[in-house]
Amino acid sequence: MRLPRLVSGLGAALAVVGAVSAQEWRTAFSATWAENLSRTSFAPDRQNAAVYDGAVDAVWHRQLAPNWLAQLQGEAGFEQVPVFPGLDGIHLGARLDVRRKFGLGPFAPALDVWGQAARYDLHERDRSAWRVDGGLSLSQRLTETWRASVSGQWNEDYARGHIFDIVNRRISLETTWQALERIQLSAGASRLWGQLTANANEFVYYSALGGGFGPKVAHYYGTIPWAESTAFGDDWVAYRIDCRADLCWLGASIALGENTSLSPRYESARVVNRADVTYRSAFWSLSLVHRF
Amino acid sequence: MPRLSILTLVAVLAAAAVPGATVNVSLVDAKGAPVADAVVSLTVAGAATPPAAGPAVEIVQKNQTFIPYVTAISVGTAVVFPNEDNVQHHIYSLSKAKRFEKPLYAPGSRESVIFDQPGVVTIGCNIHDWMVAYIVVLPTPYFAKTGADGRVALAGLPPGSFRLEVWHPLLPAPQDRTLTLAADATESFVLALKPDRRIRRAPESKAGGY
Repeated sequence: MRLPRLVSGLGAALAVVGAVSAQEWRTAFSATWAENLSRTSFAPDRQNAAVYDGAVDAVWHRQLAPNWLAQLQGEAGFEQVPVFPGLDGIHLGARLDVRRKFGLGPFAPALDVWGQAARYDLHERDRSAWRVDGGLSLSQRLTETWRASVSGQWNEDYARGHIFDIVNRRISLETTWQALERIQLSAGASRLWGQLTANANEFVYYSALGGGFGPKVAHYYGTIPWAESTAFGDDWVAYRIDCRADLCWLGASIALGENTSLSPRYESARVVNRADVTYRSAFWSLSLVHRF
Repeated sequence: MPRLSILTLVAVLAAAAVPGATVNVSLVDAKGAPVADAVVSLTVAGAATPPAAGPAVEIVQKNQTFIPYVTAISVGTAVVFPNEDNVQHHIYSLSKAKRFEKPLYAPGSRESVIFDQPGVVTIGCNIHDWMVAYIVVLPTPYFAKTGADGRVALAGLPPGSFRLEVWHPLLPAPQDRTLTLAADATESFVLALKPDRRIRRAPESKAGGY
């Protein structure tokens, strides 16, 4: 893969600055089995695949005032999908998080406001994008072992191919329970509104446009942008939908040491577009995180 | 030298040479494993005068951990908190025996706090919630902390009646016994400890990528 000059330049700068002054380094690697990675509505065409990704983060934090903490994070990472190499990519980004804690101690509620910008460069170049995210999160430890958080997030992608320009927002609830000294369980749910990109075999998509899936689908598909995309095959198209999505997940985090954890996770997604076409996906992942 | 003075000197030297009694205490948990980081203290029954403050002790912030985890001091002793990390800390205590707060505690800082009331003081960091340490402030000069072998020896004790108390972070309530000392003694305790549910330090993976 050819590295765009900007990304490689920023990466080198980050590495140099980080190596000199980062207060903390983190690495994360994960392997995910994605069911319907292609986000395809027509069940026989759904494409499953293994996804591997890794990232290195350099972290700086500074207490600005007694209850205000700022954290700046630089991240460089990669994604690899051996079956669909068009989705292979790298990314580089930065995130700023400001935390206001309302009181002293682990039981004091905390409000986090954050924003991040990242450049994603993918092998299928139209999918390359600048991604801008922002959000806020309110978290509270309810007991020594029980924690809950509610968060809102806004996301916008400015892609090379306009099909992949998307804007969406979501709210999430998550709870975490430390079941054993080394094992933590979590569960959460999200509702997303806005745009996502879906994929379909050309034949299926043209059938939808031609009314093969009913007039409502034909009308809606006639109004949305679409383009050829080779990420999932030579005769595939990508198209942008307006939708809502319901996500839920279950996870565990096993502390292998003070600075290392292994986290299995299951996530399910159900996306419904404006023509009531449904896209179901599931993700089974295993992540290893280490803090230096 | 007059005979009386010589006899007096011999008596004084003899008294000084008597080492006093020693109490050996061993602590095990319900499974028979030695209990480390427990504080064992002996308080003279009915004693009203607090002991003299001990020399200042240190609780270091290093690798985003308080070291040591448990510290025992006598009332009036100063504790110094050197920050040997490369990050700021915000140490605090909400305990009745000593409330204090040291925000914006930069790397290299080194401030002290005098603990002037008996009791257990829990120390935390408001930035790194997993950081915790305990200071047991005691109204007696006779105390010690168990090591990995779960044992302590309290020596130089005068004869008399004492309250023997054992404290540990995982003990629901301190355990105590009354002890009348005339000679060396050995005491053992089997402690029913709560599960260790300290706030976890290990990093968490990021949310899914949907």
